[in-house]
Amino acid sequence: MGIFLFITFLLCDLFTGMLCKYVYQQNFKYQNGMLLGVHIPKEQVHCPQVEALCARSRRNWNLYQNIQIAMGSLLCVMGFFSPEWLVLIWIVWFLLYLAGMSVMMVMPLRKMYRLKQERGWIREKSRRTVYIDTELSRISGRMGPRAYWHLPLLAAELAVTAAVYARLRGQSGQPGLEVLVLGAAAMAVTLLLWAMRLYLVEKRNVVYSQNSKVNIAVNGLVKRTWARAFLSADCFNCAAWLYLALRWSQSGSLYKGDWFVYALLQLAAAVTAMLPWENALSKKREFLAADDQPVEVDDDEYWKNGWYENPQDPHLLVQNRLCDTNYTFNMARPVARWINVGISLLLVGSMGWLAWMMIERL
Amino acid sequence: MLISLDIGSSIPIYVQLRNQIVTGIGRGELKEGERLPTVRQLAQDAGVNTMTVNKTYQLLKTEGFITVDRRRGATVSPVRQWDERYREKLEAELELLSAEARMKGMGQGEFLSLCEQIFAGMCPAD
Repeated sequence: MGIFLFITFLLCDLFTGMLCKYVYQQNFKYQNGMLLGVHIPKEQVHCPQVEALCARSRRNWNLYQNIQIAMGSLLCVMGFFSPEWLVLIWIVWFLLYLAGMSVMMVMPLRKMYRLKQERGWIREKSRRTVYIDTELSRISGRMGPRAYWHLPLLAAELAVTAAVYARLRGQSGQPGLEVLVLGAAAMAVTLLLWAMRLYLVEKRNVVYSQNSKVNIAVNGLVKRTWARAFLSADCFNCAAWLYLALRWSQSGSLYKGDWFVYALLQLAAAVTAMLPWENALSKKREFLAADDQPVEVDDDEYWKNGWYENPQDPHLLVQNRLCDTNYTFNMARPVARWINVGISLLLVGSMGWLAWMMIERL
Repeated sequence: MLISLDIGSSIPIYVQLRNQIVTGIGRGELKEGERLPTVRQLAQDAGVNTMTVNKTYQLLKTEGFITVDRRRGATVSPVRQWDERYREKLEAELELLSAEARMKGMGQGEFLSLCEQIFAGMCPAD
């Protein structure tokens, strides 16, 4: 058990740390007319203050990430001594890591924005402009695999759950209840992935260029990648549950090896969802770098605090400008604030409950 | 075709959308028979209510610039012969533009030259 926990948490920490370090490092390069998440004129990229700010931020970022990856790896050793303490300490460490990372991203953005204001690099007209590409909008709904491909997976999960539950119901140890819980979890994941696919793939398009071909290529690439990521993750999620259910049905109970295979398949779901992004992002940057008719919309005013806050934008989720593959909330919407409060309460509540259970055991 | 909306402008969004679509048809960027985005998608991309886009499409349909079909959606109409009612509308708008140009000190020749230049740029695709 100790070695299992150690390896699982270590891989998780290394993977998360390296991913965050790499993905957010792109903000230190001048891309899409932005540096550190702020639009600045191309001719000002080599301004001494801009260069100094970028160099300092990059140095601090790398140092922070390296320290956190080392700390995260060290604390996994707790897995050999106490799983409960490992989980509790890991949660605290991870939350502090995320909070620190937010500060490391937000502070340079705010400094860059202040510099931009002081230097008068704000383009008033482009602040208020919204661009729509009619050709892109017209074909938008046909990008990527269709959402209905999630349906057969949902149907399979439902059918298998019902069949295995009927078989194991009434047995001692209540395996029937466990079947229901795990089956419901698998179906919940499918429904969530389906809903996310519907929302993200069929939502707003982003206009990067005056050339429709560039807009179609980039938006199509992003949407197809999302759609395929969700579908492949769902396939592995379904396979994980089907495997477990089949083994349960065959032998009436599960062994450690079965749980290991289940965990591996779920891990594969996460990995296959993230793998295509590296290639997709690099292709996206290629398309945009080759474009000679970029569209410039300076909406930094809505990002000046480090998060997106635009009362005139009705969208709840918008593309995170600090991370191409991510979405962030529009904090001007009350729903967004309530969701954040809810998630925070859930986290604090879970930690409190875990700590209380550990105290009870002592 | 790229539509740009100024969200800080005093001109309503549905009017801006209508004007840009008409200009796009006039310049040949939107061709006859070409389908326009669905109401829902255009509203999503513009960040406006679907009723705003609906209003735009209804206005364009009334003016004869597009046709709206339940299955095919909105498509660009073919170029039509102007009628008396349109002539009256055009006269009223030109009268206002002429008055403004005159009051700003623009000469007739310059005004007509500008009109000619802009009109020459319009080539709706048949």
